[in-house]
Amino acid sequence: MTVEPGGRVRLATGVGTQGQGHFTAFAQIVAEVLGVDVADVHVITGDTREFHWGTGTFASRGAVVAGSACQAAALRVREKILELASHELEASKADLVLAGGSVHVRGDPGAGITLGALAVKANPLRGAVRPGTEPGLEATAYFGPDRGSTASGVHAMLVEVDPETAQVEIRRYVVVHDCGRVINPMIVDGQIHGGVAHGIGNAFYEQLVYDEDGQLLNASFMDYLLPTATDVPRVETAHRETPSPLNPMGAKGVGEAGAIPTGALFAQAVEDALGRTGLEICEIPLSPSRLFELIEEAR
Amino acid sequence: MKPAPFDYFAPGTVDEALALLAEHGHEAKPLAGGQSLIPAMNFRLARPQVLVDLNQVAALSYIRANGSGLAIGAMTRQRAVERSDLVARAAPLLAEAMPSIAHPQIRNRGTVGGSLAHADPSAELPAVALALETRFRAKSVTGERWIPAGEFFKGMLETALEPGELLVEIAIPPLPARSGTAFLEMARRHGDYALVGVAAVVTLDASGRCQAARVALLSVGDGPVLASEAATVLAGQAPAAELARAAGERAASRDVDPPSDIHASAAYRRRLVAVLTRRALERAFERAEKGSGERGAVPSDRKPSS
Repeated sequence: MTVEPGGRVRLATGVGTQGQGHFTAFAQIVAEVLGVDVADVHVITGDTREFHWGTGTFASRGAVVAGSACQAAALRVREKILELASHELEASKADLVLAGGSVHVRGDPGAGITLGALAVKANPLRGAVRPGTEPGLEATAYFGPDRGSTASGVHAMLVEVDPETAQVEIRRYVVVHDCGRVINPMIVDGQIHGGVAHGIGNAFYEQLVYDEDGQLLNASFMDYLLPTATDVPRVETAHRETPSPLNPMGAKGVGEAGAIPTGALFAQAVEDALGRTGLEICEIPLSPSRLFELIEEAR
Repeated sequence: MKPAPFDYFAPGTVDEALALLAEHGHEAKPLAGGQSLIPAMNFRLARPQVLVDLNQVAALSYIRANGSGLAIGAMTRQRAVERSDLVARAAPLLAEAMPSIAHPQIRNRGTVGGSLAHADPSAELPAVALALETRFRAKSVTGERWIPAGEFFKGMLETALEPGELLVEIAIPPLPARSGTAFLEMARRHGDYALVGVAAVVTLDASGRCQAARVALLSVGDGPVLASEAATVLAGQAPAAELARAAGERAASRDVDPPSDIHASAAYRRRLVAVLTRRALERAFERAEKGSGERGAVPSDRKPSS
């Protein structure tokens, strides 16, 4: 992480991103520590020239691991800012406040200095590197948790099954989940909604079908069925916030909370809807055709 | 993927189109809405050397009253049929089936004639046309002829149209008094090809018994399948739940030999034929009993066009 002379904060991370909202969430984490506007934090991912350690986004590591590393880097940069500002403003660090992209002495917000101006003063060409200090308002930090922070939650689904055609319609879907500290509620909801959509796909639509020669029979999206907007119900979500003790932000992963329970839940809901048939469903993906076979077998 | 190379013509009149089709014979393919042909070309499942694009032929796009029946130009967009008050009054079965054809975006481009001439066994319009005893008007440079629905569909993606012949119009005859119709289908997702679909037409006699019944099924064979065995079960009988059930069971066991594919087994399709035929007949009988007009009852649960 670097504070640029223009005042913008530049953050590079090795975690990959595929639309999880990293640019927003990481910027929020940094903005909160440095007292800058979220829009002034520029996040870069997936560029080994900017940061060469990294891996993909999976196993709920975005907020927990990369987010904690971003926060750690921001805290180090904050310390450098305070060190330099304390010298420039001739005030003790304890009396300094970071807000609005500037540092000022508590009680005197008019007489501050912007982070951009401090970044210029931290440039070694201006003689700012005194013994025991480093140039620039920049830091690199890592975070490696001892253990994963497991999210928890409860899903409930109301399905309607036509016992004659084995067609299934999802009438209602409710998720109450706990991913620890919620960094951005809209992103969290989006992760849950997207996860549920994927889960419904796993449960009832998506399946790679091969013939006996190993030829894939449904290699286009006409035959490989992804659930679309008309197949996914409105997902009702509620948050519980129990901070994790395993990382400084109290975050837990949210990427898995939507998808993981859905398949088992769908199978159980269908089983329950078919009531006294004695049917026990132990598999996904289901389809009306497969469900018809299972119902026939249970007769 | 991209299609194999082809020559392209965009005639402005039917005569120009017919001349092009005559000149290029079996190498030419008419292009209507392109919702099946273009994907097939892009997958290189179809490689026509000449495309005769009919989209500039404005004279082929119309919906007209034809006595108390309907005449529909081959290039009429499916969405226009879906939204037509005339169609809703004169051919409620057709109106009821329209929303089941893919998605609105596709119906905005797709045409009535294009779908019928493509003759996909999973398509809705061929089954509806068969149930309604539609007649097909085919033109070529040498003249024109009318083909009854029962002779138009020849098999998987095959029709009675000869090279050089163009489907220009369909004529849907009016239904007798005390008629009722219903269309039902089941698909994996909204807008997907139906696993099974059924179009049912019933007519009651003065005593309220079933005088005539035409049930056409889709996605169960090489083309639309007329359930003639089911019709014999219905003939002369008073409408009842048990009768509709018996006709559905007969259709499933005697009228169809459905295929298995990755979406549905043959046994499952048979079950759907029995269930959907029964349900469609129940609905059609109910409408025939309620309907007072000679054109059959307008479906009460027809979805408003979105």
